[in-house]
Amino acid sequence: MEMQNYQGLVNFLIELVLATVFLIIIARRFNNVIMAVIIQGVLLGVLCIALGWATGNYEMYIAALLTLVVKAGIIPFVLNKAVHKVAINRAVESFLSLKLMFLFAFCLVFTSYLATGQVIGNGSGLIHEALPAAISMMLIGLFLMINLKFPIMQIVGLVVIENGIFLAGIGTTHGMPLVVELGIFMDILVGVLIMGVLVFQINRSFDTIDTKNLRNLRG
Amino acid sequence: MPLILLALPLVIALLSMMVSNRRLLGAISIVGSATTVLTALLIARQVFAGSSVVWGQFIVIDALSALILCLVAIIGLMVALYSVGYLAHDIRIGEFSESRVKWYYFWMYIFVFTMFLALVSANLGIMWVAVEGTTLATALLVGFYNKKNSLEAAWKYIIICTVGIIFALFGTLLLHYAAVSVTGESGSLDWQTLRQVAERLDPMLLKLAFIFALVGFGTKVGLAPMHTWLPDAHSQAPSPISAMLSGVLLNCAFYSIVRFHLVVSESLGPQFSSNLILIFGVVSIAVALPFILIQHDIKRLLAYSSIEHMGIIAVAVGFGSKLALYGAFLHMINHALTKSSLFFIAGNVSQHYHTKRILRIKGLLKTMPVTGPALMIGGLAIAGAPPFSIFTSEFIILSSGFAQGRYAVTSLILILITLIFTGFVYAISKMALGTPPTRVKVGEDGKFGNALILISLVPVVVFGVYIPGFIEDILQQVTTVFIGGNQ
Repeated sequence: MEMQNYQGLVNFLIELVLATVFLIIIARRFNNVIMAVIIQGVLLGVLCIALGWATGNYEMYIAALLTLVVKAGIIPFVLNKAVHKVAINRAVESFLSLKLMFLFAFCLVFTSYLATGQVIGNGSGLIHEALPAAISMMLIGLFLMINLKFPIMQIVGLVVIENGIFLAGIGTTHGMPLVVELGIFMDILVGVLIMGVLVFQINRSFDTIDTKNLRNLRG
Repeated sequence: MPLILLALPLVIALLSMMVSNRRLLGAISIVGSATTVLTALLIARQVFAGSSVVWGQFIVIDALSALILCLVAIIGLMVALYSVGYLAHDIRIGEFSESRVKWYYFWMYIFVFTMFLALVSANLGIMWVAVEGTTLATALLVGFYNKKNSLEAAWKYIIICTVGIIFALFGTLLLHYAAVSVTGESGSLDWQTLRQVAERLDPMLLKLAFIFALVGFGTKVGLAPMHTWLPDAHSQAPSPISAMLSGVLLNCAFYSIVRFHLVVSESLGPQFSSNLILIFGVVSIAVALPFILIQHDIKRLLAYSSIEHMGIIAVAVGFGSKLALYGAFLHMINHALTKSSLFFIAGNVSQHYHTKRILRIKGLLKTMPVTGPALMIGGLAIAGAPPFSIFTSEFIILSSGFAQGRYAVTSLILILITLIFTGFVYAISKMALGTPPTRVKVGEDGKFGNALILISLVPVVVFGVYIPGFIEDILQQVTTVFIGGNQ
């Protein structure tokens, strides 16, 4: 099992990816948020390369390339454009205070490590950090979407959730079949683009981009 | 053949991009949709003659997919026909400029393409990609009017549905993880293979996968409590698009749940997944009730009724007996046809009265000699009054529930849909009867759209008293998919 030699490295990389989520939480400026998203994308790309190297699975290199281009390149670029257009010089606003958010995120990480241990026992051929880290990312992504006020941050939350699922995919089974993986990349890319377009349009119609204005439709 | 079916909407979408003349666009879309219907019917004929259509390892069309495929194609054609007059009216009163019409058609046919892809795909992963694609294709259509409310609806739609459906991706991943050691990389998400090897998969993982898939795709179906995007999107989208969202998109999403259900019930027995679907169905019907009773907006009324009817279909699939499944898919056909024509009617009404508020719409029978009576018929039909088609399928579903001895659940549903009936008929009669406001002129806006509404109501009336032999046969074949036949 050549894999064993790389376990340490891979697990370390996964922990770094999880750490970037906390970078997003503490960032108070949009530029820093986008920087954290880029770092997360790059780390995921490196993780793919490491796994490809360890397992000799050439599909991982394709996944790495796509990750770097889409998640560390195009998506941050679109986000950056949207920020410059609608929210430049604005601080990230949240409903909870920073301390509470941090505490909450820690609880989420703790819960997911606890829960996944019960669902999938050790030694099932998977990298043991991947699944709990992935579920933490999904939960924290959801938490970010609820707690942060700008639509752009909801897009960031979505990207974090998707990165979490991607991490779960490569960590547990070296990714889904390539066609499916390609389709998912396309969906997330087109999705972020369309959300970007909507952010522009909302900003134009409402003269602001605060989600509290989006509360007309009820009942 | 299946490749032609997939290529047609893409070709129409690309052609639409290159044309900016409104009339030419309408012609392309109608001719294209008609060809699509023809292709879909040819495929369906082959499938219902007894052999699944298979292409390579990516496309499998069985009776279940073929039925919904035909629904998508037929309602797509009706929407294409209705859109011409609807868009012309909106351009005339300056809702949007003529140059944007091509985007309407572009996204509409991308939407049709993604639905087809979800239905024909043999791979559950690609099915997920396609269902997420439907959200992306329709987001800008929901916000097409570019007003505050429609943009709000579009934003809620894309965010709620994407987050919801991302759970289904996680469910798909768990299924892949459970299967990959048994089937190998290539067959791990192929639903035919999965059904064959289902007994050898880890039941714990399958349970988790199904829960995630149900919540994820259930968001798209509009099952409560994940339904909150649905009334907003349906009420703010242009009416032909609402017809398509309600008439067929919900069915496509439901189809995805059924595919997971079939795999999981093969391994865990029918109880686990059926009961979950049943619970979500009952909750959906219950949640729709208060909103239908107090509704003030005609299109939201129809949207909540869609939640109710998807709930009824879910309940029927949850019951799972042969009779219930027969009722479920008959109900799916009936609901798709009735609801899409009701959205056409709502489109006519709101364009004529310049409002969607039920309180400000009065005396339809007097002002609109075709749309008014059509609203009465369609409204009574969707509420479940005899002798219309929806009554028949609801009756079949409820009687199958009683036949299984599930008295409590079935009675609860019976009470709920009776209450919904009263609320719906009350709202409809408020609009149809009374004296029309003086500002509204008497007469219909377009003959073409009216003819279409009348045509689409024909099966609604006919299926209530007589179900043609070929429909009977199709439904029988669809129910055999559930017991593992038709492979």
